[in-house]
Amino acid sequence: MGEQLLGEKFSQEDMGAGGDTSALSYTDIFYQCLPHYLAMGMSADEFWNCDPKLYPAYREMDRIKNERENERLWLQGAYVYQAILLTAPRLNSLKPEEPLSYPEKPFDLGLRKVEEEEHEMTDEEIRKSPQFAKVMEWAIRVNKQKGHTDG
Amino acid sequence: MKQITVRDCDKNPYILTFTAETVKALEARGFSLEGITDKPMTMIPMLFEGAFLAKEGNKVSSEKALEIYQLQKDKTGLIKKLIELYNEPIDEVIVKEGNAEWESNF
Repeated sequence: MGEQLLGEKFSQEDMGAGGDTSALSYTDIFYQCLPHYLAMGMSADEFWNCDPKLYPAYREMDRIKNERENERLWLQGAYVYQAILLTAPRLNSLKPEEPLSYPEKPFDLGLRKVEEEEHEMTDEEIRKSPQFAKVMEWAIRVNKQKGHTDG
Repeated sequence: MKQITVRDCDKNPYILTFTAETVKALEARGFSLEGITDKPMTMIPMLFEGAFLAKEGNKVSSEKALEIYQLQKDKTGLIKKLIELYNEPIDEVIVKEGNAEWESNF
C-alpha cells in the first residue's frame, strides 16, 4: 500500500504531471554503499582509491565471516543443549538424580584427526609399531628359508 | 583493475583507469555519461583527462592529456573502452546477482 503502480507513474509522466526524474549519480551510489564497506572493515581511503576488484573480495570475506560466526553460534547452542541434557536427571521432580558430569574435552570437530593423519612417525615409533614387528618376523623367516635353499 | 595504456609522441606510456575517487572528482566537475551524447565536445575530453587522475594525476597536465588524446587513432573504440573503465568501480561496488529465476519464450 502507498506505493505507486508503474501504470500510474508512467501515465503521469506522459501527461507532464512530473514523476521522479532525479536519477542517482555515481557519487550518490558510492556514498550509499560506503557505510556497508566500512562495516566490512574497509578503510575510507581504500574505498575511494582501491582497485575495484577489491569490492567483491570484501563482500566475499564478509560472507565467509558471517558463515563462520553462524557456525560458532550453532556450536555454542550445541554445548548449551548438551549441558541442559546433562542436568536433566536433576530436574526430575519425582526421582531427582545426580546430574551427569560435563564433558572434560570440547567436541571433536575433526580437527584433531587431521593433525594425527599429518603426523609423521619417527624411526623410534616405526621400530616399536606392531607392523614393523610383523615385517621383521617375515624378513627373518624369508632369510632362514633362503639360507636353507642356498646352503 | 581495468586499464588502458596510451603513449605520447615520445612513446612514453601512461596508464588510464578509474577509481571511485576519480569518478567522484569527475562528477563534481559536471561530468555525466549521458552528457557524452548531448555535449560530446566537452564531455569526451573531460572523460579522457579524468582517466589520468588515478595513476598519472601528478605527472600530466590538462593540455598534455588533450595532446595525447589527439594522437590516438580509433577514437570511437577508445571512448567505448573509457566508458567501460569509468563504469568499473560502480559495477563492482554494487551487488549485481540476485537469486530470482527468470525465463523467456524465445
